[in-house]
Amino acid sequence: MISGSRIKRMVAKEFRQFFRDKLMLGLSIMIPILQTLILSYAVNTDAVNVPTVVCDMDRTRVSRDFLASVTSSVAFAVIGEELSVHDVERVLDRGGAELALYIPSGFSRDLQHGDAQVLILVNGADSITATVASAYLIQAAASYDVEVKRETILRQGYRADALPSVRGETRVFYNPDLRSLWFMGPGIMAILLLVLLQSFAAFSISKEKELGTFEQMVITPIRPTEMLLGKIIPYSLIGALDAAAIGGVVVWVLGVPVRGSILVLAAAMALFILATLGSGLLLSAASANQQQAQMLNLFLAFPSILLSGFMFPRENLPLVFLWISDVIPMTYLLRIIRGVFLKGTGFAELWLPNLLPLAVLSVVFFVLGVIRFHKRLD
Amino acid sequence: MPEDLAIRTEGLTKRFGDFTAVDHIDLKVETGEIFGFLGANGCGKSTTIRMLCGLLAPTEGKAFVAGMDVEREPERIRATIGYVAQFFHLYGDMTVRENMELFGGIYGVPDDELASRIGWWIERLDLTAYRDVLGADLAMGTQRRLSLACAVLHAPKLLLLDEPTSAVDPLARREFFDVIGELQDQGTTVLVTTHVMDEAERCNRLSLMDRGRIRAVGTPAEIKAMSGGRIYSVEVSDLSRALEALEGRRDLRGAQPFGRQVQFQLRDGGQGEADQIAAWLGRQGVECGPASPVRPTIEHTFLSILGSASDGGEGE
Repeated sequence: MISGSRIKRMVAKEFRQFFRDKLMLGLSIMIPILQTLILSYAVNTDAVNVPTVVCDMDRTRVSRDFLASVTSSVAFAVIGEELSVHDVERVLDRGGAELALYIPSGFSRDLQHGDAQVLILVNGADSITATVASAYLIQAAASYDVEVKRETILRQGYRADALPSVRGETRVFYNPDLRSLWFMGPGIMAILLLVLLQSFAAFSISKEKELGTFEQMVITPIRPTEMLLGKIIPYSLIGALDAAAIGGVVVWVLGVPVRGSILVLAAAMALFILATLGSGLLLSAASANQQQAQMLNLFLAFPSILLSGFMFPRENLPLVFLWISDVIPMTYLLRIIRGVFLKGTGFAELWLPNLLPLAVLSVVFFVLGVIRFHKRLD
Repeated sequence: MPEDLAIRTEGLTKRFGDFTAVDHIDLKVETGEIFGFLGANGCGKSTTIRMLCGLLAPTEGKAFVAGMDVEREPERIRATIGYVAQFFHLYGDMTVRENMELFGGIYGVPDDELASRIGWWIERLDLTAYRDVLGADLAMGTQRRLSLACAVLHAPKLLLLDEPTSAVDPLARREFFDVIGELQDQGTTVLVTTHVMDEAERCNRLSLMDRGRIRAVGTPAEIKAMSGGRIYSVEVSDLSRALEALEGRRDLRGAQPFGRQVQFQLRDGGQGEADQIAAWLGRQGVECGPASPVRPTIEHTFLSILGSASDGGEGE
């Protein structure tokens, strides 16, 4: 028979220990808030002030005009002017610049004949910045190209609209400025909750194993279920508090809009907390001490970070990883979170494709964790 | 009737891979006695205790606590036993009182009774000054007393103590055994492992364990009588030379230093043979006093049993 008073004692004990450990307490409050801020601003794929060197071998009015027009964007910070392509390469080698723009001599002459070329040198070692920045540079060159043609036509007495052209107009939904902060913030909320809560659950058990208190508990008449509830109740409450704290930072500090239902968000979070506690239990059952638990915690967090669509688009994943991605609760939670925050997606749209799989996975993880925990005690 | 026995094992065995920690032991512990488990470190004492309280599953054999099968009814058994582990296994980040409240509560001591029982044991075990001190901040001896307190709050019928007094000073050790004696008076059966000989003297019965097997069982007096040949002691001028010389003699079971004396145990004979050995030592150039008889202790039996076991093991 399950005894309520035993569960109450275990819950009280767990809270007492949690609040007595000042470091843990501090970390559990500070980590979510600080990490959300740091990660949200740090995980930023917008290109701003990319260090750029230029090399103008043409040295004409036209080439200077071109340079000024192309590098005027906030994406680039011109940090130097080199005298030869050799010097440019040296600067890139040194890591002094991410990007270089090389204008060969004869640029203005070739421009007259319609086939001027410039060289863009990119530091591929930092491929995210390089791709984004070089794309900006190419775009800038293209608009210069259009501008030059337009002026030429005007000079020859034609009307400007006599120049045939196609222009692609982009309208970005949900995140019109494509702010990576908006995109990352809500996801970071989920990732942090995973890492924090999974380690809380795992450590609180592996610590007891290491200190021998687990053994001392096992020989008392306490039921595994009572012991389990004694861990799960406090840690799901702490998890819920952390989720709320991170959510607060994301909304009020980072200014990410919440367009959908908080209730759906809360339900998804609750399910996710269940799944995370389950994996924490599995993890603690598999590890004999805190170090092993620590390693496993990291190891288990990786798929959620790398394969869930948090960092890289799921569309690019090879098939096998896609399958793995399909059984990671984070995959579904992220879609729900991003949907609720940015798109205002409601329960009706989220229920079948995302909430249901999340619920199923959560129950599976949780039940596996509980079974594993019981086995360990027998 | 087996139900009268506090503990009964039949061929209880535990193997860890190739290593046999406990090798077919048959043990009978009567209700209400203090039963001592004597043996060197690593002889299988702790493993046996851990099987009895259900922490380890036996590889072979059976164990019964108060007639209940340890493997079949672990939860019923757990409510009736108290266990003090070899190391401090309570919560270091909780105070003495908090630990006692937790364990008393988990063992099902009613709330209205818990406070008075805790108060009683805190006083009896001299923990008053430490009641609000964290477990981790206690000295080792105090931690042991706290462990005992947490193990007896629910008035267990069987108390299992695994080396409860290691790293505890002799005075505290004696007090510890006084408390154990009081528990016995109230009808508690106590199984205690030790490798300290003066603790063994305080047990009603003892078993000597060596490399997973029980070599001897009996009251302390019976155990002492099993020591084999008589033991004599001589005062010598040069301890190491005397021991070296005596080691080569096949008519001795063994020789040990004891202060400035050497104690040797004969295989056969008495005073006459002992005098001859003293005289022989003198001829070997070791100045030597007269041989005087020594009353055998448990330690002698222990060493002689270990000695004969290793003789057998080496095929001599």
